[in-house]
Amino acid sequence: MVALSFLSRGPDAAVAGDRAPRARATLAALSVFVAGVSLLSLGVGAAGVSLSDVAWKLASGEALSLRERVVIFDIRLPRLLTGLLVGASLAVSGAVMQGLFRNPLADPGIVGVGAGAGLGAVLAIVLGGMLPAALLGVAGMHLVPLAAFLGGWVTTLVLYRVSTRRGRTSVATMLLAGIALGALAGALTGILVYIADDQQLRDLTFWGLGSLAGASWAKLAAAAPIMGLALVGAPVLARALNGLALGEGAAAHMGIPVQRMKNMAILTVAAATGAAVAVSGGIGFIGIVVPHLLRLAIGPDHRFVLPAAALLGAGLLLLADMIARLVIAPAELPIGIVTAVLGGPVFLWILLRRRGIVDM
Amino acid sequence: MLEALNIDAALGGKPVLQNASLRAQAGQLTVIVGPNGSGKTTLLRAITGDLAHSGTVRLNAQDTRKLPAWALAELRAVLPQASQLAFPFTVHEVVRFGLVGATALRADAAQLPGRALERVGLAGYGGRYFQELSGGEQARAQLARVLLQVWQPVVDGVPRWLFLDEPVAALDIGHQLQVMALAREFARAGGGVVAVMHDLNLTAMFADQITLMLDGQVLAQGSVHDVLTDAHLSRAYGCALRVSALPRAQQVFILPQATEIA
Repeated sequence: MVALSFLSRGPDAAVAGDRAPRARATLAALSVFVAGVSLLSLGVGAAGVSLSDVAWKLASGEALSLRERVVIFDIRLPRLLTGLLVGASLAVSGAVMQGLFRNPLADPGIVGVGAGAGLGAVLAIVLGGMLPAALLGVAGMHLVPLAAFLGGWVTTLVLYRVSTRRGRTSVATMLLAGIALGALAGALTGILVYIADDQQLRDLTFWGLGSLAGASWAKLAAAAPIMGLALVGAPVLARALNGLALGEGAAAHMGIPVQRMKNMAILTVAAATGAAVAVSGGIGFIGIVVPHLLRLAIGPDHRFVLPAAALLGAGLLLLADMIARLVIAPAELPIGIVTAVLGGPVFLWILLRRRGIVDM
Repeated sequence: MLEALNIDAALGGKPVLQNASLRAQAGQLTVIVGPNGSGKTTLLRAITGDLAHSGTVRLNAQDTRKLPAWALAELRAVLPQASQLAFPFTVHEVVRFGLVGATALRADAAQLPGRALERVGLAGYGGRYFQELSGGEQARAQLARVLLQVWQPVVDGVPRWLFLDEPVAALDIGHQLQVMALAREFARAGGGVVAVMHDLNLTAMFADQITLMLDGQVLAQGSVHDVLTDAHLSRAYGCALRVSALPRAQQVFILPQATEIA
């Protein structure tokens, strides 16, 4: 009996309420999911170039045709990487913002941060040409992501200041202020669209629909560093966001430099949202649906929710992008439509389940 | 040794602490009492750094304002009066938040949250959602988290501190005694405990030192017998109170004198 007891109670017998093992298993499964969707995404497209052919050619040392090279390496690969980064950025900035505001309804897209980032991007597109040539030369193609980041940052900052009093963030104020800020940013964006010339209008329309279709190595190079930094920095916030769930005072007593972490969280949200909005336009619902699903599955511990959100966000956005590319191929749906169709009902379901919070 | 010297603090522009000073020794349970609005919680919040204040707070001879947050967290834990929690964390997860600093690196760190829950009488509650607990259970789960943060009362000869803001307010009488016994146990093991309390009888039963506050100032400070006198209490609470003692045990108790209130 004694010899067999290790079977029932090993040294790491499950601790009640400890969801870390489940979270780790979920992270592993999500990694496999993202890898699978990535491969699928490389192999699917209007051009009819199949990944297995290309892989076979690469493995056997046979030269790729120009068409295959262009489709795989200049079209699908940058699009894949952009999708991964944008999906991860949107989901992580949603999770960080919800942790910061201690509320599952906080999402950059809902509380006006997306609109602020959008205003920044539109400003750069329409008025960027008026900048002194020297400055333009320095900023170059980083101008739009940078402006989007600044727009998102200012909006997040204003939102947080308005809705936080003596360390307590009011949910109702946050949602209302977010609506006001979003409307303001939308109106200013409208004015800019009104004065834009034809070429700028085409850029704006394309960008505003929310799509990965414009993905290119150049755009990726401009936005990836900002998104990458935000994603790499996000895990540092995990313990702070966990502590904030108990309130700012308790977090401080747990040894968390609360003010610095709050500033960092705001920067992360602004950077990730701003850069994502700059390359792909307004893609909704990833930021609110992904963290919520994960909290249901593995619990709200940000040490796991943040990396899992990056993976699930990346995978789901790629999946949505594939749907957008295939449903009416060879034409494409804007990906924002796909995420809204899938995400809208889920969001409604969240609202219904959490009416108490909305009513506060 | 905790020294809070000449603390002034204001809430909403109105001064609530005037030149309040408090000294507490490691190895003792120091209790702050006083009527509603006397500034006892404010004094604790000033000491723990939750509230802007003037004056000096030294913990183990170190100015707390000069210590970084992580170093302070290694030195002392704070139990808040009201507990709030966003997101559906389990009790185990909440208690685990107390695993900070060197304690988190211990070989038996994984077992500690469960043991902390046992100490507050919540063994087997780890898998429940924190928000589903009763008010009293939530208070004890928070206490388990706070106890975990300063698991060893003395580390390398340096005492650690527990600051408790009304730790028994939400508890039934059995759990009140249990929690007070835990606080005293922590002090007996060499740690320092400073608690804000309403219950004068529990205070009389467990406190080593008492600070009695009135109108933002310290009215009396000292041992149970020095502070809990008819005169002090009647003045502080504005009603007739009689301090008595059981004949055989040396247990002091306070009896309100209903007839003299009118």
